[in-house]
Amino acid sequence: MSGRLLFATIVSRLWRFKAKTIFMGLGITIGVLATVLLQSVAMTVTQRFTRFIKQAFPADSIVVMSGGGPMSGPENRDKLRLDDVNTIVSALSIREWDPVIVTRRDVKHGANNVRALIEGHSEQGETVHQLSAEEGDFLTAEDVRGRRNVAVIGATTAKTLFPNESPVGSELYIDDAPFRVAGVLAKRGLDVHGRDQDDVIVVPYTTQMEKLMRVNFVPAVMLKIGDVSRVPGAKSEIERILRERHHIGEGEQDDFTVMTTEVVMQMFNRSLGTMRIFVPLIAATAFLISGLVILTIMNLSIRSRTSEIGLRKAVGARDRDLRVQLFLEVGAIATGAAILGVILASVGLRTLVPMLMSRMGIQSVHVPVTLVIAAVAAAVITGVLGAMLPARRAARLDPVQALRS
Amino acid sequence: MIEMNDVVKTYRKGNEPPIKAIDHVSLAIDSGEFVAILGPSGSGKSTLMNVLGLLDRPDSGEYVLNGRAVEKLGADDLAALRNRHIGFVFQSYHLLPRTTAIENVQLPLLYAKRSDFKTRGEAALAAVGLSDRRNHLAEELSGGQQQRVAIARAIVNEPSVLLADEPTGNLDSSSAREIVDVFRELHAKGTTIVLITHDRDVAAAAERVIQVRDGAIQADELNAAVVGGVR
Repeated sequence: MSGRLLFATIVSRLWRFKAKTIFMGLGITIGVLATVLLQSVAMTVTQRFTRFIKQAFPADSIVVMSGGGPMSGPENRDKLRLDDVNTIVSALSIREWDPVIVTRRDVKHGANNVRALIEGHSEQGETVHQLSAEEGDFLTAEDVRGRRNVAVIGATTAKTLFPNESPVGSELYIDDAPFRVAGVLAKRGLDVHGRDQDDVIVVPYTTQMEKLMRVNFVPAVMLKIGDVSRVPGAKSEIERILRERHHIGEGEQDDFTVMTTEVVMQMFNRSLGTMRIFVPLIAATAFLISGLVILTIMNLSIRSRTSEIGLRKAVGARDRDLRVQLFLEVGAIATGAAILGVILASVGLRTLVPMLMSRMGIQSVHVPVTLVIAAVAAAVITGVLGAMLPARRAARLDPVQALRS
Repeated sequence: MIEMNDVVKTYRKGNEPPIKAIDHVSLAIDSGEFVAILGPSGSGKSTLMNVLGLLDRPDSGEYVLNGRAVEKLGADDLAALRNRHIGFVFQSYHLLPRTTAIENVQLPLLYAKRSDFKTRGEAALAAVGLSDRRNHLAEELSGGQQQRVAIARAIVNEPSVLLADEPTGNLDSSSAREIVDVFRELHAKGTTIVLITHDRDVAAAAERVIQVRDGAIQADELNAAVVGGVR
């Protein structure tokens, strides 16, 4: 066959029968659009969570939380006492650890006031929780030991309370108690829930527990084991110590939870499992329907093109030439429709992301090239499979019979 | 160029007795001839054209086209032979709808190994006097113009023989005359034409008239009015 003439023939046919072309391609466009959109979002969210977990919860660390079991609520916040933590730390000779303890308090500086999130940390928050001061200093061991009224504030809080001055060295009031601002934290951005992590005030956990909250327990503590291979052993040792100290017998429900990165990732993957099944299912359904639509339209189309097929045979088309032509027609429709789907998906992502995803701290959704290639390939395969039977039938028509119709 | 020897073609329709559409026909047509095959409907002339045009195979007998015995050729070889050697003109034109005149004319070139489809298409359309309609869609043309486009399509690949099956059957008498004139011109330029018709007036344009009835040749004579007694 003459390639250039074949190309011209197919293009002009698809153009002149626009309605049929669009109808045949519509399913594929929607299928590709849905697949690329959902899968890109799913992958980006996964990456975002994974990155967040890795950053917030390094693999060589363990988090011990007050309260046990999946349904444990706020009433179990008081089960992990500071002396529990100290026992664990000395038993496992843990050098770096940092509590996770938060509260909301009224904070004032001059005329500016704000209800701020107060986080209690030790000086080791710098290594354990990757906190650091961009301006001024972070908490020191003396601040923590001395239960000093020292604060390191987040950039957003700094802007709210000190709009026109450098906060370092200034004073602010938490619940009417004066605190010296030692530094401003390096920016952390949004967390996965879209919360601004820079809207925070860090104080020594000792100060927070004894002066602000008057408690002797912490909701959670992060312990740096330092070596990933020692994490599982440390986990069971901590569980043993806490069961003994809390007098929890065999078969009784723990009043604490020991978390590792592995456990968190498992929980995350489990909650994402639905999405993992859902996206391929939608894709498969969309492509199946597209394939059937193509099959049906091609069958109808060949019935109305019988005389054309007879003529083509009369002027010298071999069965193979007819099959090639029909396959290329469908292939061109499927490819075009798939590319359109990819374009619509990227446009959709570009408009959708600022609206919805920025709340999760996602600025842009990356559309993986492999995903695009896979979606387009699936579309073309769908088209070709849908076209297979009708094209074979058409090619086998008897020219004499076909010309008579 | 065309040699048929004792060709038989039989059709069976359900439980009815078989019909001999071609009944032991022997026939020779030389290059450059203008032959009319004349017969009433049901005389088997369309079947004869299908066999001549390699669209259908004879049940028995031999058919040699340009020195090649065609009974034993496969479907692909027959398609290639049709493309190279045969130009069809049908009663109902068989143009592709929503397709321009020039694209219709170029159709056989799609299956030929030629790169000069542009110039060939234009030349064929010029030969039937329709260059000015090249970009008109087939359905925008009158019946006579459509048939001329179909003739251009039939000659575009310079076939050995032009097979026309009732080419004037759907046309009014003045358009029919135009078409017959086109055939005359093509014949004058050396094209071999086999014209199948039931119309004596149309057949009168040919230099040789073969009359068929019930699948058999009744008469095969020169048309004195055209040939002028000289052959």
